[in-house]
Amino acid sequence: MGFLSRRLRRLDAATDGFLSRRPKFASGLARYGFLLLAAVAALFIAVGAAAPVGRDQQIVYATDAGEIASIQPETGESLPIHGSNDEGFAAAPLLNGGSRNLSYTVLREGGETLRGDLYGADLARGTRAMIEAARPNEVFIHGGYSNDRSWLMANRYSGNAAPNAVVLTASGATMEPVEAASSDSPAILAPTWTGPNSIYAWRKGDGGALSLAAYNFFEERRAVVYETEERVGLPSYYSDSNTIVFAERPKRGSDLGDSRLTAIAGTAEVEVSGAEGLGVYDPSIPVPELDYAMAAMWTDGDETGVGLFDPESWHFEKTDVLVEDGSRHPQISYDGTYVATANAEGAALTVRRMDDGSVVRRIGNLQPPEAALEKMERAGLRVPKEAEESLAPPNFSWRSVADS
Amino acid sequence: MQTRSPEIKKGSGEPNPKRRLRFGAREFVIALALFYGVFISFVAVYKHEIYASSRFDLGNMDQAVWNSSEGRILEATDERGELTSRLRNHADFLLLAYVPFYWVAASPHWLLVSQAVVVGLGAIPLFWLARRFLKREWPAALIAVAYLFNPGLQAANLFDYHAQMLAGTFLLFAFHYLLERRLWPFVIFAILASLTKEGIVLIVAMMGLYSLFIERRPRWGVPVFLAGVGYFLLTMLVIIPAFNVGAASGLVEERYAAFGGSIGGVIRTAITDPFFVAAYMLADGKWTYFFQIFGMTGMLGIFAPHLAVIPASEVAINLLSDRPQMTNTYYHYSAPILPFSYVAAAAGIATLIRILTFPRVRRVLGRFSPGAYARSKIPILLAFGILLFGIEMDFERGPLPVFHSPSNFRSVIDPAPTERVEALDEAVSLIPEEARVSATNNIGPHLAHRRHLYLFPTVSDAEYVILDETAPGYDTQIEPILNLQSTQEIRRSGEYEEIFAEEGVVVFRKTDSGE
Repeated sequence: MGFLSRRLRRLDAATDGFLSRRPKFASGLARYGFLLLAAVAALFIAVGAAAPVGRDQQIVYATDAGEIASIQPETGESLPIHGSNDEGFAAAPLLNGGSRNLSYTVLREGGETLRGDLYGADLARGTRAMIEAARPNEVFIHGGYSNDRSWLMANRYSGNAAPNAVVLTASGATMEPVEAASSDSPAILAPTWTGPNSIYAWRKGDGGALSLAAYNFFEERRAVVYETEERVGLPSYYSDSNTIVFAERPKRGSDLGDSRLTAIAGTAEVEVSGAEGLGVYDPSIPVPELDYAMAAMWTDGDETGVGLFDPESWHFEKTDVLVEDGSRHPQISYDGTYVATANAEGAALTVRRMDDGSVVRRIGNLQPPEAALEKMERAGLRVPKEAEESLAPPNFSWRSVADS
Repeated sequence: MQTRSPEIKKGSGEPNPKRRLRFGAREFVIALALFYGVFISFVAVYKHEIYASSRFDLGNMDQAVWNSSEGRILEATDERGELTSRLRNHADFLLLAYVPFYWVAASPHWLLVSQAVVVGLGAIPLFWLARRFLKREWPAALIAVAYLFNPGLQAANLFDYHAQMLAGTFLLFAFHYLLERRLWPFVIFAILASLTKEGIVLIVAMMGLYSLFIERRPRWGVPVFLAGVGYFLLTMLVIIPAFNVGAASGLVEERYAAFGGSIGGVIRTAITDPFFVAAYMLADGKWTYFFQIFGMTGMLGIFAPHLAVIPASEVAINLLSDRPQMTNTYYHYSAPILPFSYVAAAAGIATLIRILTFPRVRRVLGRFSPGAYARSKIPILLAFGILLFGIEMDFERGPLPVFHSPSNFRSVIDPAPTERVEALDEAVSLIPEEARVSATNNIGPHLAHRRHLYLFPTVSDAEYVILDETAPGYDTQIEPILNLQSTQEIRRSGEYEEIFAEEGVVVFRKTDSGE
């Protein structure tokens, strides 16, 4: 400490000596020194403003070879999460409980049987663990952590029962189905979190019609809020307006251009404005940086692009981002800088900037959403056709490293 | 207590023009206190007008005052839909002070504005007390203003209305006048504070102990302590039980279940098993409550424990409770505690400076021991640091629209679309004045001037049901599925007809068959 003190005193004396030998400089510094400070501050601000944004945004995706990787779109830097050296075919990575906890499935074929174990990965710590081991001809897929990361939910497929949704504690210590399992129980598809104890899911009974049901798995409550004979998409929920949104179009003779968004606040179907004359489909989860707007695809037959749906006012608006025809599943990065879309086949991913639509990166080895489901079907598991046609979630999610 | 220079020049009889133009520490505090009152009033009223206030706890307070103005003293519809007195759970008699204002114009705006103004005025006695202990004007002023930037205080202030929020200011005035030995102002403010809620009077009793042990004034200390404890026992053992015939207060039962659900149980356990009580108070991260309270002032209150313990009774009440909101400074439960952490911080700084002059401390610090000049600058530096930290935390965690905000205050920054607010206004206008109504939590405060106001999904014998399907939540617990089921049940039952449906806002009226 004495050494430090002596050095400080010497530095002080040297500064005094320097300034006393240069009186004009010293008086100028006294008078205009604040300008120097202001200039330094301005420099910091300018450098901060000019620094490229979005450096901490990554996409986590499944490859067609059955790996899970994360990629930084600007640099292309890629990191394996479940790599080629790992056993099995990894699929369905989902990051809807924030940026830290990823869930995915590893399919393992053995003789005549197929197993799909549910994995959880902590991307901040770089660890992963099997959360639920499947029995032969059982698959846990399309899982997702709750916002508080204490729960994990997944679709359970098997050879002898219709698909169900199960809710597990994050450690996998307990697992409960949301509907009591029986031989004639309905198929529960595309479950999505809505609150700490609740999910929405499509429910397919014997008649073939689909109904949208809200479940509170703690209190074992269920309320069906919508029924349809049409082809429906994945639901997306926004809690501040208690609104569930999904795309819907006729089953026969229709294409994506005939899709429309259906929004339901509580039990009331509400009118969606701004989408007149457009086919709108694939609403994403709400994006906090964009005032909780959901990204959604639009097409007018000639052009296809990314739009934003405000789940508070139920208004849809096109953005300047145009994409290839047939593109699916727009996902906007947490900071609102990028949007990623899959091509029509779900086999390639394109990342664009939201402000001008310019392409940042193309990723060609994306695993199509239905790839895992087809494997399951081939192995004799009961996979309803709706799951493959329109209710398979995309195989990619954004991660914000800063939020991890 | 420092004396201020007189307004008139000594001997001249002429007003001193320089003195009159002075904008000093006192004026700084008064200006900020008034600005706080006006600004928070505006935000609170705005929050109510955009349907972001709650049936619990603005609608029920408003209903109790309105009922009182109609001669039904402190009557309100409770969460189960029963007509009851607020005295079943709380002795917040201060609500009755609003009755004359309701005779002029019955409106919850009286509650919201008075709450913001009184909380803001708390900076003034806090300034007096900080100046008393610190013996510096500007450092005291900065600490008093830092109090107004406490994000927890602001969040609690904007969470509807609670008479308890006013207690902090009344207690500060009372403590100031106690130290000033001005009996009547002390008595008036002590009574006002005690009327805000049953437990607050124990802080007054603690002031009695302060007077007795720290100031060595038993003639003040003993009566104040006994009166405080006596009033607390009167409310808890006589008044509240009188409105709970044959049963204990539901809230005490619910919140203190670990101790038998009664005040007696808490006292008994504290005597027979103090370690259990201590462990309970610090379990499940509750110990972080101390950091929430004292952290905003850099934990400087540690150096003035005789002041930091004045609200100990309220801290214990909160820590012993099962209710998580009671150990979160963003709720009103902490409002009577927070100001004393700032008073203790001011006194703590003074203690710290004294410690630095101790010969042994100076020997240990050696050449790093601050000299007299450096020591004289410590208060302003620390006070400025407390203020800057308060502003920073307010920016990061505060509820104000100009700052960042936690999600539960997004409603102020990002209100519902105008069309929905208009739909809500129209729906509310369809409800006749005397009708029995069941309403969702955010609509309830706009229909509180009636005897029967149920919180949906409780419907009971409601003639009208009015729902905002976009906001099914109640309190901090969101249970949308129950609301969905209940809404569907109303439609299915045939007892109600839908008379309005727009923007997710629905009004049902009871049909003749439902009568």
